[in-house]
Amino acid sequence: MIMTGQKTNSTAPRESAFRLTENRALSAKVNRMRFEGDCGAISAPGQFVSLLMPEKFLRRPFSVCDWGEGWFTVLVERVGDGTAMLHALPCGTELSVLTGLGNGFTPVPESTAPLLVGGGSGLSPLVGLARRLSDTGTKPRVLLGFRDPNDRFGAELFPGLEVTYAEDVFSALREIPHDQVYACGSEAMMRELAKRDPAEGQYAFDVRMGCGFGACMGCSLRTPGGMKRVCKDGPVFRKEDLL
Amino acid sequence: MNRLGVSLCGIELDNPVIPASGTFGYGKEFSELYDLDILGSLSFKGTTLYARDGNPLPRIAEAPCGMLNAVGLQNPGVEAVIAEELPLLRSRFHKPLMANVSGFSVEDYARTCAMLDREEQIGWLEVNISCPNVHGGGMSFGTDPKQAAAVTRAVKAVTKKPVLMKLTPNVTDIAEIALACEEAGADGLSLINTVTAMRIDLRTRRPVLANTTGGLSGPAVFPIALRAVWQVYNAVRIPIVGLGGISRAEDVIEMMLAGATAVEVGAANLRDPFACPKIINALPEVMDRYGIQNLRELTGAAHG
Repeated sequence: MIMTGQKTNSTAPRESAFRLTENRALSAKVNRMRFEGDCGAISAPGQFVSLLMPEKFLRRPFSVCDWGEGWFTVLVERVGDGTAMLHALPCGTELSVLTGLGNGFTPVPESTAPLLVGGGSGLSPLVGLARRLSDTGTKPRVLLGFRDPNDRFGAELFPGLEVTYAEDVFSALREIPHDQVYACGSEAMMRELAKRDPAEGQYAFDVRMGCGFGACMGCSLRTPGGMKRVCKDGPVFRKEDLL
Repeated sequence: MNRLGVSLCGIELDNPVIPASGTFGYGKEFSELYDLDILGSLSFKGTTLYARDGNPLPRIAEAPCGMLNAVGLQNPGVEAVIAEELPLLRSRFHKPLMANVSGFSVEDYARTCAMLDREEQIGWLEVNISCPNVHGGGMSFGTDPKQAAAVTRAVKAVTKKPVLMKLTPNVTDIAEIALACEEAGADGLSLINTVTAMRIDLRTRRPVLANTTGGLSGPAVFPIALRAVWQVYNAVRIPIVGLGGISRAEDVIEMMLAGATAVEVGAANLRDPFACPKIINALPEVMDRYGIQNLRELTGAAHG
């Protein structure tokens, strides 16, 4: 239901009800959850959505893994109470979801050898990005970092692409020729990547948030250009924001 | 007559619902979501004399029926607020604004308020002497009646606008602080700010917040806020803006019955960005249910 007074004429964030249609384990810790509803506010890979569980006060933000007309998927790693509750939700459950949050990745048309780098479940937004890059005729390589090889998952989400698993992404990175990096993972990994990799890059940050839409200053990072909110000014940052 | 209208320090509000400072930025993000003019007013992000980067991350934690924050007054400083934020806000909100001010010395408060006093759109100055997340300022002024009075006097000396002192619940006797502010010339009071609290991460065995402690807000603190407003209403004659955990129209009415003239909605905005419009839309029906003709008749009605 769209609330009276809610602005719907743009890609501004929207709140609406979504129905869970798939909740499937991809690994011991990670589920893929698919929701159906109004996805008109989702405009770029790397944007995120924020799910409201009745039992929790704060919404939980997740990168959009992939999306289409009337549906999106997210990858939910079980790390605490809230994510355990999400794993247990039966299909058919309705949740309030904020969509169209954050800036997202901007595909660089000049890049001929893009590399997607995911840290753990940070691979999520790279799935939608890979599909869009492939659609424009550029096949990216994919590098997925997992500290513990037992946690590995996700290669099957990148059909037709060459996927490499690594425990140390920084060494693996040097072996794969690339002119552009699109990455998602922890703040520490993103900062390290921006520092070590000579190629141009776009780095999506995974941090603890409050509101998810720029109001509370709960997720601010210090950057050369001043304080930036991961939820509103990011979650995707450029090298010049980080170095 | 507008059933929802109230009057705060001589300024008429179309309704008593005001987004609370720190949950609404300078209005920009919410103006992309809904028409800000449906609000009674809005209290903008706590502003200090100089820019502040705030505390390290994490700054936010979940709590039962609420949340913790330790943002630490991140803001661009009063000059940037006047030069950049207020012109934009003026184009999107056309009613008197509440300017929330914080400081680290009596002088800080006075200088910041003097600069904001020149801004025509500002209706009230809301002086925060209750931030629990900064050191050497903020809450230390709100826990001692003498210091609270000193800040009140210093601010009153530099402005003709009504001054609301925003009080902390982290004291033994909030009525004593309220009375000290009233005697020093405050035109009104806002209460409560957040309740000092903490969480520990079971996996890391360390506090969740980088600042160790933070401020608890949300429905968990509503009964505490209600009690504080009740006690302060008994002690002072100046109007009270009630806040702390308000998340539905029923809470607005309950807070007004305890003694509030207007209310602020804080953490609820972060859970649901449409919380304020939903509350305002629901008020007439909830008033009908409880036989309330006009909201303004409610203030303090529970005191008999």
